[in-house]
Amino acid sequence: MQDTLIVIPAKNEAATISGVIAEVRAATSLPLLLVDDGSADDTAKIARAAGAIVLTPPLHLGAWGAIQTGLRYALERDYRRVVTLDADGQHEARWIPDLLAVLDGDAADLAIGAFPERGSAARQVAWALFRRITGLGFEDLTSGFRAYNAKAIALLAGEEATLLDYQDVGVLLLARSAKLRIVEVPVKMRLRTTGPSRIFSSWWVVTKYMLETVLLCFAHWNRTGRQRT
Amino acid sequence: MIPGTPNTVALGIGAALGLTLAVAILVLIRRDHLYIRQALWWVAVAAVALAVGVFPAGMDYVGRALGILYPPMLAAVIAIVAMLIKILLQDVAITRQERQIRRLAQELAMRAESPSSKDIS
Repeated sequence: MQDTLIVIPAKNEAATISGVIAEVRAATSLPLLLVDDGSADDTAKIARAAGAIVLTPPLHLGAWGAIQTGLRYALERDYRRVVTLDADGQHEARWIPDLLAVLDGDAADLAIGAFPERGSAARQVAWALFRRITGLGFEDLTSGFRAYNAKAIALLAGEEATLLDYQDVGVLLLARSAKLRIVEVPVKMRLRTTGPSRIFSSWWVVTKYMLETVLLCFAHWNRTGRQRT
Repeated sequence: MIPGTPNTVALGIGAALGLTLAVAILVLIRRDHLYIRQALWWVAVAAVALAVGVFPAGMDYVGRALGILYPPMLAAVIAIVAMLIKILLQDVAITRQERQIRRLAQELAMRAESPSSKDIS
């Protein structure tokens, strides 16, 4: 049995999902799990037809909630590693082996596929702010293209990670406080082909997201031990 | 009428309010509309309301003993602080439930894996 599971969280990605799955299939022979987070379109049907395992949570769980569903599934089925990528086609499957190689070399517990050039000016400002507050030295804090080893899966499948909303700073802070080794792997990403980012869509949502994330950073100040570094 | 001594009507209203609250809470518990853990708090509230309703002079006495210039404010401050604490605890409870609900939804999704995917892999 394969010990690595590809997890794709998706919401209304019928336009891109078959292409994404085909790309993953071309790059690897790993089993593929799609977590359909309340799509109104045919995302789940298309993914199933393409041979993916499809989970459909009965409630809307958000991007991270969907990913955690995949992590918990992986934990339950004894997968040793999980790679997550977005369903909108911006993450290129050809880089998956690079992410896994970092875990295989035992250089890290969590590998981030980083492509900081993708960020708009506003996003760069936001990342710089988060880097400053948290002391996390990563270029691409919000990348959803990541690989987790067994240790990272066990931690992030836990209750402590359930109330996070995004696969970004909160997850990294939790991983750091658990002393997981996090490494960035430079990759190339395509610019978003359909639709804008879920987060950076309206000023109200952006403001709320920024305030929540800043509060999260400060709330975890002591546990993350920035002072010690 | 002497200032500072409540008249019988006011006393009656206070007592009636406290009593109504106490009875309403007991009825809600009996009908299973209040989980016993929450009910305990409300029984305590009802008891205090009843006590203050029937003996308003008690609050004045405590207020003066604490050096509060306008003793009735003591009742208002205690009530507001109690409500703030209660609301905060409710949010803590909501957080716990939100976590449980999300994890339940995830587990449900994991159990109800689509049948057509079983024959793959």
